[in-house]
Amino acid sequence: MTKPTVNIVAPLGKTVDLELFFSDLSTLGQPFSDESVNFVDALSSALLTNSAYKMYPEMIALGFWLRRANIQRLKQQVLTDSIIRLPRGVVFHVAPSNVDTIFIYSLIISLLMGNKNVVRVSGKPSLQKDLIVQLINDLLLSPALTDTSANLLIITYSHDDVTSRYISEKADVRMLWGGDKTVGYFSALPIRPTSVDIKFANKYSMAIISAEHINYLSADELYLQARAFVNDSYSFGQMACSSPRAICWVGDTSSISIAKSKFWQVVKEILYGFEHELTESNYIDKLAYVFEHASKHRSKLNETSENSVLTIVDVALSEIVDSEFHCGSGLFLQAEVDKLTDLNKHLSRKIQTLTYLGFTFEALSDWIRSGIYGVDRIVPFGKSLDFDYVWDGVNLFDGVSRIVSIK
Amino acid sequence: MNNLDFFYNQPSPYSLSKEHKREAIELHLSRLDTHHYQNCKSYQNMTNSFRHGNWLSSNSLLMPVRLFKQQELKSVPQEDVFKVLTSSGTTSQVVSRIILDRGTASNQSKVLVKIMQHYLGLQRLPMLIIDHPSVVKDRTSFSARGAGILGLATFGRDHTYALDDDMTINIERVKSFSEKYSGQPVFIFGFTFMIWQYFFQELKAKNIHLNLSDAVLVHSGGWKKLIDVAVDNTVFKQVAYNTCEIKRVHNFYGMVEQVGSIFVECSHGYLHAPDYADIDIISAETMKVLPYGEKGLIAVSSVLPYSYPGHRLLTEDLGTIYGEDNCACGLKGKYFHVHGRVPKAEVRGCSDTHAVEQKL
Ligand SMILES: [Zn+2]
Repeated sequence: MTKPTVNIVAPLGKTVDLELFFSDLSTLGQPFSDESVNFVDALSSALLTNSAYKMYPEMIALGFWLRRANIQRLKQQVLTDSIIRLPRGVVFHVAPSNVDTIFIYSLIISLLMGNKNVVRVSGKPSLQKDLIVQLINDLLLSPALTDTSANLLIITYSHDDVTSRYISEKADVRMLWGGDKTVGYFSALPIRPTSVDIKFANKYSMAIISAEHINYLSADELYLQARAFVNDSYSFGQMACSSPRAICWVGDTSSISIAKSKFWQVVKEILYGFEHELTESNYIDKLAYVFEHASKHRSKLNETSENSVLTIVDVALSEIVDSEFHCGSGLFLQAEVDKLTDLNKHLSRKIQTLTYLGFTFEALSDWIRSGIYGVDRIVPFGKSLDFDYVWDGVNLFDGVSRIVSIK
Repeated sequence: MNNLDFFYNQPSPYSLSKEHKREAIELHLSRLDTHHYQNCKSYQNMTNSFRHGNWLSSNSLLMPVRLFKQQELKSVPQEDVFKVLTSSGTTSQVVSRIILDRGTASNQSKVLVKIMQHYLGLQRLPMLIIDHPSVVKDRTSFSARGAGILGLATFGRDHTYALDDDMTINIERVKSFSEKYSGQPVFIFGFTFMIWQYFFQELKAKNIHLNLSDAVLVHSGGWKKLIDVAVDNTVFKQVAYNTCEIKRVHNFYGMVEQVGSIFVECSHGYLHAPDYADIDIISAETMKVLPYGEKGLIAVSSVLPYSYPGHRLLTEDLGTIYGEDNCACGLKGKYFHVHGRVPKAEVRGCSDTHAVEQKL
């Protein structure tokens, strides 16, 4: 086999014999070791106190998730007395090229579990990725983090099969971010029979809103909910897999009609002062989408759409899921149903997050058991982008650990 | 049918003052709105969607030019289709497909003649084409480059190609052309980047000076590659003069979706809307028409497109209109500059979409 060549971006200045990195398992740690928890805590403090990260909401969100208190909470949920949980071995993380922080979550989970980690990041320049890699490098200089340093390798490599194949054949787990294309590419490369893949496919997310509930809300309450909705959908230019891209209104026709106009009016006002990152090019993509959609499906631009920032298209219920062409950038496909179960047959495995407004926990948990093939998570408005260790229906701690039974 | 006699009967393609033009062109464009609405299902669906929303405070759909890449749009019966124009694209790009019937194709040529004669005169001039001859040989595939050359070749005679098939300049052929017609008006045509790269740069490198002082140089095709090497219209013209003594240079702005009614640069360096066409600048964010002097998306309209719904288009180019009917050159019509394509946005999202990233 040809020797793979990689460029190590962290730990900086480290020269690594890849062969040895994979074969030497003596540095595998204990789950939630003091050192790994300290490393995560240091990362959190740096993200939350250094002003360099202030301008990136997703870095701040990451910093909060990594706080010691949250990690302790995770530890209590994951490590229970009844089972013995151990690291799985070497985890190969393939980071997505377009979202710069999400792979950090799965990396941290794997590090906390005591695994060795190889992270392939995109060679594409990205300020946020560079910032986070630099931060990790700074932390790894500490003599108290030698185990972490030995268990972590962040690399880039040129687009060749050789390296991908080499690492795939040696890893115990592959964590494949990046959607259908990346998953498809790596799935064709063999892994060991004892190894596992955790795959993150392209996903599509929606909002479900009870019209009656909207109509009961006070102006202040409606504002807060609309504000949460705007954060859910306009961060990352609506391109995160959990950003709502469609709205399904639930209720009778007349309450829906009132609710829609109230809701969109407030959203529109919030957007006038909202710092979205949309550009002319995004608007053009959206225009082309709207008219292409109209010509094929007879959908209609909604009259609320006065400018290109908020674009609402009224579609038939059967068109509400468009995981293939939806271009994000503040584009909402909207349809209505009498009751939630009318939506069931449209909720395929492609559906990840439903952000909801106006339903009780009981109503939702009854409904989700009523014969729905898809949906990974159901969260209230404002929580669509919150990371959880259960992602796309998979418990990531389970994915990167093995459970040993002693009888 | 699309009767353009009113426009053809004007004394020049830049005759109509703004009040007359607004009336004449809007009347004609609204007839085309109706024709396409009744004869192109896709256009009808798009218009219905557009009218529902609140964009542009107008009833007439401004169609994104990209739609011609995504589907075949046709407003005449299949049996009337005479030929299909495609835009030149690099191999991976999707190309626009423009459906022409005989009437539309013939109007395109007629209007192009009216406009070009304004700059070249009625006589056919000896013509130097800055390209290689095989670009027009394969007539089954009407690439925009080949079609553009063929379209303009009708204004010249003794067509001489400056380049060989490997894109190198054929000095002997060029020299003998310039000597043969020395002191006479000649017509030179080519694509902006080709002229710069394979003609001017080569002449400079070989230290060859040509005397083409009575030439009219017409060029088109966009500035993107030239802006990358810091060449603008002023530099281009200066080099035309330094290497070939060319004093009259006319850039033009046109697109495969609106062949014929092109926007030619006047003697004062502005592109002008002819009577057959019009231009507006639209804010992509607010979807409102911008006042003169402001930069935004170029929307073009043309009275020619009858066999396909391309009479009102929103391009992906940025431009600024400076005024109407009052350019120092004396021509009527709106005058403007094009600043190039809208820059591509950074791709965000959980899914890798870059073609180069597909493999990894
Ligand atoms: Zn002028």
